[in-house]
Amino acid sequence: METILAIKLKDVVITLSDTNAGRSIVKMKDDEDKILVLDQHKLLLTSGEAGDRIQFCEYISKNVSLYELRNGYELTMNAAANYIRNELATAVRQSPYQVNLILAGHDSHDGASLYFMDYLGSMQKMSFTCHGYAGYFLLSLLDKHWREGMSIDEGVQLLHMCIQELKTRFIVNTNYIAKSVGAEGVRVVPLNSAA
Amino acid sequence: MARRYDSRTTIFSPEGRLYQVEYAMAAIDHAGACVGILAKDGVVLAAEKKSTSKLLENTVSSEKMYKIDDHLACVVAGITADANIIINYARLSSQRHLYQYQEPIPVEQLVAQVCDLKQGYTQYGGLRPFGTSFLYAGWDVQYGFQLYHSDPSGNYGGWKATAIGANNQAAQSILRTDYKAEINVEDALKLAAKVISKSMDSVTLTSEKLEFAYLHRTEKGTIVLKVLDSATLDQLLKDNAEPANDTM
Repeated sequence: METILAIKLKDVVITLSDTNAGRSIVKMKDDEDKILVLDQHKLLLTSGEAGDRIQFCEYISKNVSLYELRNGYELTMNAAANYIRNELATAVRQSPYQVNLILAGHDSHDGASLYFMDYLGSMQKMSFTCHGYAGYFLLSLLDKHWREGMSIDEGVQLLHMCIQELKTRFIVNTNYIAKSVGAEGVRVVPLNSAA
Repeated sequence: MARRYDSRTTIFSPEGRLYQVEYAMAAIDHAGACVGILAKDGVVLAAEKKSTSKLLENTVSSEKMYKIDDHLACVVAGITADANIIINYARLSSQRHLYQYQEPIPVEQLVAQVCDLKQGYTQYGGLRPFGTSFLYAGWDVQYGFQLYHSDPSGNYGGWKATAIGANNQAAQSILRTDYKAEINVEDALKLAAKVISKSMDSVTLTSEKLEFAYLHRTEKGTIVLKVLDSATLDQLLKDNAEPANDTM
């Protein structure tokens, strides 16, 4: 199961995802970008069933755009998160989307925020979170090192710590991609520079 | 000449008019006057009740003033039965939005949805349009306090101050001269009292025939619709009203 993780810093959320796209024992692609830019101030990280992931992402993405076009302003983070959760929860008793997600973003109302959602339609607003096997290795690490109001440099350092842990103990060897989202928008975080 | 083209809503006249829609708007000009004023710290709504009789039971439900949601209220001018359908739809829309987004519906979005409903009745189905106009008062995070007006055609506009119903032209002209941009709720109430008293038919200016309310934000940040009780309203009228009989 793919690794996706997000960490809330001061005014910015930093996100990480692996770039592996494969089927069973075959690695088909090693540069897949799983961090969807939903709008100028939101990122949607998804993991799960291949077709469902793309279908659901695109459906959400187009509806989020439609909202902005109709009304002249973006959805707030709280509204977007609840909208996505509602879609998952409505589908779960008919034909569930087998997708786990993290919504990370920024709005003037709440500042930086991130929401954990799973394919059953559960949702929690969190300070840091991960989906997939990553959780087994990284949650304790994040519990230890995360503090309220970390700077972006501290955040990137923490991200490198997480990657190092996975490289050391996780059986799947893969590359990673990181993006940050804040008041000024979305940025790709370079990971090659050693922490 | 117009007679041939006015029986069905869903057809145009040769001059490109929709007579049924226009007739609907004419019906509203006979309804009880409504005034709305946008203040910097709230929105004031005032309405004249047409049906008052000593025998009429004072129930909870109002003839003119309706709460659509915690942050949204409206006054009605026109056919009350038509208004009830629309109010119900507005309340449903508002809760649907709250259910999906866990946030109160932005005012303009609600107004637009109601107006889309009204517009449908001017284009499909062969049913007559709704014979009601509304003044909506609301607050949202995006644009703060807002005042909107919608009519049977499904058209709507945002206003700083406006009036609908009987004598609305007279009311509008007074608003045009007397409205000041940075007005507060207290002064807006006084202005509303003055305006509505001038557009009322009857000479008697008592709280029995009127409903006054204002939407405002408490210190805690909650939006509240405060309906004036009869004592406060009587005092407000006594201090500010100018009966239509007085020469200007």
